[in-house]
Amino acid sequence: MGPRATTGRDAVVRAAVVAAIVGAIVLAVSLVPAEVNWASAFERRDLFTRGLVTTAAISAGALVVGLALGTLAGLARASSSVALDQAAFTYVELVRGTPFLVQLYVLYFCVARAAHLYDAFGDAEPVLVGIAGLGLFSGAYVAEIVRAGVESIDRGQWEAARSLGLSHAQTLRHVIVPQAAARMLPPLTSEAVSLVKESSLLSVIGVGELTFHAKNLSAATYDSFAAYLPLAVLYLCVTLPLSWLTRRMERRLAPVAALPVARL
Amino acid sequence: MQILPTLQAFGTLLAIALATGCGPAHPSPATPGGAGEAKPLVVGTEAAYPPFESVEPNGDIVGLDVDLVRALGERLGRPVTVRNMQFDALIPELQAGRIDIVASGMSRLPERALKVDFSRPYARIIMSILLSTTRAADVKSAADLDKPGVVIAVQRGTSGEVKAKAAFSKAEIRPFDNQVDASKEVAAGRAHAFVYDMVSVRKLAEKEPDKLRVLGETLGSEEYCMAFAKGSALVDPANAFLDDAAKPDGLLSRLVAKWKPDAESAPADAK
Repeated sequence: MGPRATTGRDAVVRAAVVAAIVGAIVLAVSLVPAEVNWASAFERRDLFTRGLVTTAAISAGALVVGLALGTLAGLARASSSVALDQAAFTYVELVRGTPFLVQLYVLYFCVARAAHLYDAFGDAEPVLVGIAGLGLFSGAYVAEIVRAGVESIDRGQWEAARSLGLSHAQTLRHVIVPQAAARMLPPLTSEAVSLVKESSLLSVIGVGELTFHAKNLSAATYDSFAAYLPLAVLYLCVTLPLSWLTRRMERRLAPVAALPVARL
Repeated sequence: MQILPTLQAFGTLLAIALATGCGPAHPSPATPGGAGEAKPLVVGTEAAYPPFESVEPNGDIVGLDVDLVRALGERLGRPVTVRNMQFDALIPELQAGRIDIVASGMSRLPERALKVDFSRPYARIIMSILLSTTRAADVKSAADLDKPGVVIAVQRGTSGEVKAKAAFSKAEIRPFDNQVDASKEVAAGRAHAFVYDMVSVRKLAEKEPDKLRVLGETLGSEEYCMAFAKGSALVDPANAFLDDAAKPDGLLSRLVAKWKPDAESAPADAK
């Protein structure tokens, strides 16, 4: 937030602008000449609900995987070991250099099939490959957030800790990470938002998440409006509260200059 | 006839539009005989369904449907533009007015006929079931698949999906974007079966005979028609064209000889 203090009048203006934009979108949709069969979407609301629950569960699972992988990789990049640093760097670059859709094709249609994962996981395979793939993808971005968080701590802290006799690892664990963790929270929350959105790509491997059900609905009713407009609104219902949380945390951290959000 | 391939972005898909012209020596294909601009006939197809429509290594879209619709364009004096898109996008694109004709091995189904107008049929196919040799080893009839716990892979938006939903209401129907992804699901043993037309299903089974087999029982025959937006003025001329094409020694018999779809062309009196 700039130097401007938030006043009651500002809040009214902001609410009015939001209302105007939402109103314009609703008006534009209602003016669409196509016959939109909202009833067909409403009849299938159970599918949307089921999809939303699956999307939330998959995103949460992938976030856990991503946080674990990303923390390991991020700390590896900050460690004193050249080998660990290079291994983590290679992982991050491989993942960030390819689109998630392509990673998913490779993981599901090539790797998982060649490894006969079906024999081990049965019908849970698409969901598990999806969570693993999304986690692997997210981990690379989390690693960058962790690395940036560690690097954001003043050099002097390292020097002070080392001169007190702490090792590199001890300095990281007891001095640097506790301070960096708070700064990492806003970008990590925004990473969760991006996970929810990327999970829509799992529809191509038959995972029954939100977009999968909307695509099926559109194909069954030939009504793209009644399938994809509620889809967009449902994603916003998940992502907007998370984004709000991100902003709130950023404001609280403002004095220590929160990290810029890595990716939206 | 000369072919001018051009690339154009079409949403997130890379659509390949092929414009054909009749002027023998003119580089510009848009104006036949120079007399007035003929509006191109925009044809939508899912070019992943040989021999009806597929993409050549050089990017050209070819196949029986493509030849058929080119001949229709010639008869109407309009150049033809073919657009490649996902199968489940074809009817919405027709409704949106972005394409004039669907020529994509599309079966006439009652639920589709509520949304679009169909031409008379020009080919007949048989809806078949591709089985996994491992996961569906003991499946002997279609009824064996109508059970909870059975996974049926389908291509989203196809008549195979519609038939599978009707025939296997107790099974889980899992739609994929294209026939290859759906059939791989069966080959990997992730799904019991894939419902698609017999010719494609046989070809898929031949490629991986240790993993795939074709069920003897079928789900009945279907007829391929061109599809148009409701009330389109193209329906009557297309029907007249197809009536001629279906005559003995007509265009259809020549196209069947050329492309060997192994699907008998529909008799001229069908409809």
